[in-house]
Amino acid sequence: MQKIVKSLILGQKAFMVTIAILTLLSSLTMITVLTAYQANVSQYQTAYRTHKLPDILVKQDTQQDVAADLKGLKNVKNVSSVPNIITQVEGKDKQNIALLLSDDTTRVNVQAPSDHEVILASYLESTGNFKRGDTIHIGNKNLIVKGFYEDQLLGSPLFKYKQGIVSQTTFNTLVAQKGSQMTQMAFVDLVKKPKNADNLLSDYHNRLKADLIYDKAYIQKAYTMLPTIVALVIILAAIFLFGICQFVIRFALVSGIAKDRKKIATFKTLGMSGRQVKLAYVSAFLLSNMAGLFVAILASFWTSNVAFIFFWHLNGFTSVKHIPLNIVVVLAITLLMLGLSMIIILLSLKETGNISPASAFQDGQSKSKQGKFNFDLTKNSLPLQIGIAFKDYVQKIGHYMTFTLVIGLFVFLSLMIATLNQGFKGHVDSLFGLPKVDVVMRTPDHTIRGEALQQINTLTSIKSSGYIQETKIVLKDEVIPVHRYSTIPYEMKVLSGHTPKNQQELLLSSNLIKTLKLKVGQKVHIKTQLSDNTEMTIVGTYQTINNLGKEAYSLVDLDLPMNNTYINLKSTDQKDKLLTGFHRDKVQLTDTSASSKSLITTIQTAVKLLASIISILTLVISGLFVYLVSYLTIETEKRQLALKKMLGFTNVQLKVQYLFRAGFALALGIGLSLILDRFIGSFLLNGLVDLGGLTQFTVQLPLSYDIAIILLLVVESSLIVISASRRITKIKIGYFL
Amino acid sequence: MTEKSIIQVKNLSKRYDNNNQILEGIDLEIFESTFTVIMGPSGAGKSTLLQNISTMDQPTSGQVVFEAQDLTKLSDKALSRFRRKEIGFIFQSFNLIEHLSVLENVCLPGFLLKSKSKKQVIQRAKDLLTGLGLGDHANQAINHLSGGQKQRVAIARSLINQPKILFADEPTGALDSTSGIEVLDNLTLNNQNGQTIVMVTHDLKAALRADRILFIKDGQIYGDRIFTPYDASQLKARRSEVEAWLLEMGW
Repeated sequence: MQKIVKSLILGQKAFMVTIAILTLLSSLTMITVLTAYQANVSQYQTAYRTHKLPDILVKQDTQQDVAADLKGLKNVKNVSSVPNIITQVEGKDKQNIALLLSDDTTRVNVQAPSDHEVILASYLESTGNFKRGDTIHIGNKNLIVKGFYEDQLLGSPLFKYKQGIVSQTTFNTLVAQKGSQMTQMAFVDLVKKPKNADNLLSDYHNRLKADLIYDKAYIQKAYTMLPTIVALVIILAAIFLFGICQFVIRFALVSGIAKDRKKIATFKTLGMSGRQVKLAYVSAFLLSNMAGLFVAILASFWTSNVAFIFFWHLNGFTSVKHIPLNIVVVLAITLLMLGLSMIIILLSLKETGNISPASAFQDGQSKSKQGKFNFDLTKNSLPLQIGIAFKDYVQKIGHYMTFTLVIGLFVFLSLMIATLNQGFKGHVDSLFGLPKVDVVMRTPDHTIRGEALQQINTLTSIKSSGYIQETKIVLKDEVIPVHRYSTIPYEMKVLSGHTPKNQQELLLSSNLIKTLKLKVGQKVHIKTQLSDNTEMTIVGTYQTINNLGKEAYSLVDLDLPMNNTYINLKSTDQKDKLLTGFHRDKVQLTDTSASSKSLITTIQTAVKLLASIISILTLVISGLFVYLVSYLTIETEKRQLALKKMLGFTNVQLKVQYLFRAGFALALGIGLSLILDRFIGSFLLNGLVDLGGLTQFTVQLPLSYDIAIILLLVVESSLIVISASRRITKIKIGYFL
Repeated sequence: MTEKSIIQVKNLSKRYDNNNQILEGIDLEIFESTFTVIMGPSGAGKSTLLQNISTMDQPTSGQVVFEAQDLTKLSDKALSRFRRKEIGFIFQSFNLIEHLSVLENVCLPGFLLKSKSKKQVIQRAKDLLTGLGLGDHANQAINHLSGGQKQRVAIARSLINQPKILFADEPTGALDSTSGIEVLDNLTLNNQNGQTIVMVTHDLKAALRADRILFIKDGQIYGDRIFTPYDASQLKARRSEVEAWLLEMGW
């Protein structure tokens, strides 16, 4: 038996190696990503626990301590609050950065700074704003950057609050300075986990005044959003690879059995039972699988750590940690791989039972049959080369269907990845549902506002401006942040309905309308800071930055104090000039997109990297597969090729026939991929980005991309078929006839 | 018998990669409209000689001259054209293309040559099949035919382009006696109509159809004998004559 298994492996070396490589790649990818992703989540949760971070975080812009109010609430176990000061500092390229300063070191792993020092959140270093030793001017004080710390609370790629820690003395000095803006951070631990996470601290009477109320799960999701998207895309690609591996196994077996009919007949003649023959094949192919798996498990010790570090960086953390291999993941992937391979192998081995020594020895190769669909060469007007290629293709359609499916799935995968890449390339603002605002100006009164706008207009032309205000409403007992504009500045990514036309209209995020079970057109009663009961109409839904956030847009209520003005410039390129060139007392300009810029850049880089990796894998594996199919087709048809040569076909004509056959299979595969892309592509992508955090994905890939991807695969496949068909030249007629 | 030479084989040798010398210094001429049979013991090199003359294989050295051109020096394209236009081939194992119908198998070399319209090729194929008793089987799958019928399809295919020479390698080897005689009758009839035939056989009955027998032994032509053209009424005398000569050759 050992010798037979060895002879089967050696007889199909190319396939065995391919199966081992595909198993290696798919299992390595799955083990690596699942291990790293799982570790990323658990390590973050551990860090969260280690730093004694709260069940609920409440941030409220007030000078008064909010802890006392929160302590008396039901389900609240304990509350501690930390006062913070919001101050403006100058970052990279003289950009204004709103820094949130406190003197609390209990939740971070750093030594308290001296009176002349400040410790900053690590993303202020990674974004290139500050480095160790820099001097920061805060109020009347000059502070030296002592170091950086990782912020597990508000430092996610989604929030990126810019925080800093100073000494108690420095903090008190800054608080005492005139005009300092205070905010309170309250850390709330609960008695038990709330049943409804959407309705946190519902008995807190100042809920509307709280700047934010985040629960632990929300904070953790915000951190792991990017790794989730990345992991899902990679796993999707790995599933494709695994599927392809199963195709190769089936193809190798079916073709191998056709080729090895005489060998199988010989085994049977020598007394081997059908079951023993099957066992030999199962052993040979499973060995190939296991070889790939074994190497994958070994390699995953290293790759899991690399992937983990990548994910950990995506979270916004820089400290490097070592993770062990996840045995559960390894076992699950091993069982999945071997189990599915076994099923495919056994299904493919049915044919061996039909091989009788007599029939096999008669002509060595499997009997060809005329299919139900009979394409008659004598009854059509196609050129002979195309006609005979089509006839051969139809006759071997089962054989070529594997080729078609593999190409189809790869083109589909490439189109999806390209669409994903395209979506994150130029449409991020609309993808996140953010209205386009170049800068926000904060002024103490209307007079200064008017003067400042005039001054800005002389520096860089203003396209539009208006009031902007962030407030909160209570809708169905839930506190919703509302962005209110005097006019909505830029067409938003409205998914249904329209933008508000008057103050009684409300535009809700798609996630909010879903979770609150509301409908567009429905009238709702809301509670605002000015009124306990106001009727508003939901006029539409829009896409938000992520589906964790629930928010709304409406037109501004001019009864409220107006401090903020949005400004859109005629040329966005002038934004930097404005931010660095405009200086006026009591007027602050903020680049609102600055915080999301690094998130967008990170996502774009990650998606681009993934797109590149998957494109390369697609090209390499589809190329390898096309080569194998072409190689084996020629190998199993040597006798027929010799016969055709005997009849007078030239080598070039025979090669052209193979090219045509590959062309038919390719055309069908491409057609299949376009159908898949058309009907389930957006469904899959939306599912993917929904899991990752976004709500809708409606990016249309430009036609030129489809053409480029298809052309690339067609050219690659054609070159490979031409290369593989060089073997035809070496076929000697006399040897086979 | 005419004396017009159609193929000249000059000093042809064939040696395989394992240094096994199969043919050595063969000189031979095949004459137009003759029925030449190659006989000899197993392993003598009969099929190898046939394959080398018919361009199915490339000799290690020597020349095969057809109409003043050395076939061993032809390009792939020229060689393919020679095969489709000038020769037909019949094998012991038929070598039909199984997923093509009877008619498609016969038409294929005709379509490939393109010297006649598609319609003309189909008509000629049908005529040939009818002449061989297979008129009703034109659209059948090859797998549904008996061995004798398959060999007759192979004959029709080999004749579709009216080749100058018909090569046959043990054409009755896989057939029962009745089918074998039918195939030999067809070949004889074609030869009597002017078709040049070169056939390898072990079978004495097949050899009787020849007007020339070459006896190959140890890779060389050991005997070369001309006989009178085949006449079914003189079969007994012919059998004695051929058998006696073959015995003399060591058969």
